Amino acid sequence: MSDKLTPFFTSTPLPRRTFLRAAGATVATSTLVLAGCSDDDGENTPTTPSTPLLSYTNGVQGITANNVVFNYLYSLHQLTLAFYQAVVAAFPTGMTTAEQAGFTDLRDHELIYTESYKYLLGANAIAPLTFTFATLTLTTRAGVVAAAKKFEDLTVAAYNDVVMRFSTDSTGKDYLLFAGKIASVKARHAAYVRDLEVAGSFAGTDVVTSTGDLAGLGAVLTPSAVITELAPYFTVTVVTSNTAALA
Amino acid sequence: MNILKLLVNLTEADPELLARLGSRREALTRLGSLTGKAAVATAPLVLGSALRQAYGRGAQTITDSLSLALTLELLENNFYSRALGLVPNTPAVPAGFIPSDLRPGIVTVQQHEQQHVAFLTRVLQASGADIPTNLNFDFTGSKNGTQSAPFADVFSNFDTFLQVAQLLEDTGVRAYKGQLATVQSDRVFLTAAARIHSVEARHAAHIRTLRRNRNATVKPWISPTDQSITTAGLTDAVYAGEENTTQRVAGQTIPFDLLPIDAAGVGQTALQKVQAAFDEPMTATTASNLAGLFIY
Repeated sequence: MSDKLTPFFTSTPLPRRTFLRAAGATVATSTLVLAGCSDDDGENTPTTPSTPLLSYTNGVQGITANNVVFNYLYSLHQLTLAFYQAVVAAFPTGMTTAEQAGFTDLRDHELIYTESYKYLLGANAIAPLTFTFATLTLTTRAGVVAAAKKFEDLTVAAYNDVVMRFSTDSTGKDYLLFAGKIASVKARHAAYVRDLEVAGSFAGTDVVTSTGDLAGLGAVLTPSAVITELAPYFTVTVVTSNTAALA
Repeated sequence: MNILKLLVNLTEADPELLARLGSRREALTRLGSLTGKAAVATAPLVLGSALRQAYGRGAQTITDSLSLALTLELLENNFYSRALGLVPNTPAVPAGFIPSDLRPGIVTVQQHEQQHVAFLTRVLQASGADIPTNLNFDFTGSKNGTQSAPFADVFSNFDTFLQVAQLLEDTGVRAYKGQLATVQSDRVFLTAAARIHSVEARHAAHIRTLRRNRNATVKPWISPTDQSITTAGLTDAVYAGEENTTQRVAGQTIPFDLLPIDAAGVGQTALQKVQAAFDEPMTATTASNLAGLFIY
């Protein structure tokens, strides 16, 4: 499936700068922050991770919880962008023209989100990441739609969680509203791809609580739960446990 | 330590209190660990503030937000329930009004609205707040025949029904978003509002997909290329502001015209994607006015 990773390098009208950067594993990983290693216990032999670690604090001293959360969201959008870019660069067989236009919108929205978060985060921003989709089947419509559903549903659940992680001052309220503006469009994305997979499955019982006091409420997942689900697609080991902002 | 004893009594009388206290639970836990003068001095402030918010007294903004949400959910639930023939003493819809293959999706939406009504009613009642009652709905928009009906065939023409559904769902999404900041101080309500907000957005996308499949020009996300279904001065507030291409966060304005977001190489048209990529909030007043089109 390595051919599925190469679309970044194929001729596309995408801004070359952006995607060469996104694909530049060497550059990206060299600037990743080693985090989560406790070095105050000299008796332990430090374990050497097989992959670099990614911390959403980005090693920035005094980074605010708001920016840690934005870095987390930024990484989710980087992943989804890379996925949709791979899809758009080589549409699977069986995908209609209308569906191709729909997935192009999804790609374009993700590009807008990633560039927005990157801009807003400024020096706090984590580096561009690389991903692997080798375990996904991107050559069939069913494979693409199933993967899109997974990524969109997880991101919606992630957004439902992060709303409570922003500060309650005016800055935090701005961050909350900005995330909220994206959250509902992500839910629209999710419903769209779910209806593509099975008509009428836009809000199935796997993503909306169906019984009990919380019936009718959308799924919510903590950062660690989301990252556990998405770990197979990251080429770095993502750490969420080293910051109270994502606990 | 009378105040701590009061808290114990309150939680015995109302087991859900601690859950409703939400973010203030930590403050109360810390309070419990204090001793002597510090606790005596701090307890009334912490507890007073917490209970006021938990029960809504003196915190009108949070209960106002929840009450607005409940009004919108009652409206939506009644709308879908009528179409499904679930509301007694209302005119029956024509046989086959909802195409049989689309009915399960409409049932899903209606059930969610009913669940949202139940949830919001419960938390409002638990907060001691007033519940909107005796609301009468007229989805033709005629206010029970007192004015011309912009949606006269809402329950006989499925396409009109879907248009009204889209207006209601998109309004709901924007209205919840407009209340996020208001309820932010209460984690329980904030998370619940966000979770309902995401479900409403799923509904909106589904309704839009149904319309698209019936040859309407509309995307699952609010797009400037959508065929207009609003009337100036009546329903145009549903989408007013969605044309926004300026996003400003904590003093920073995102320079979309300078960012490499034009993946498709379409120039200024890329900004149309910016409009679609962000759903904008709606004020409580606008949402109330829009709901008022269907309430008499």
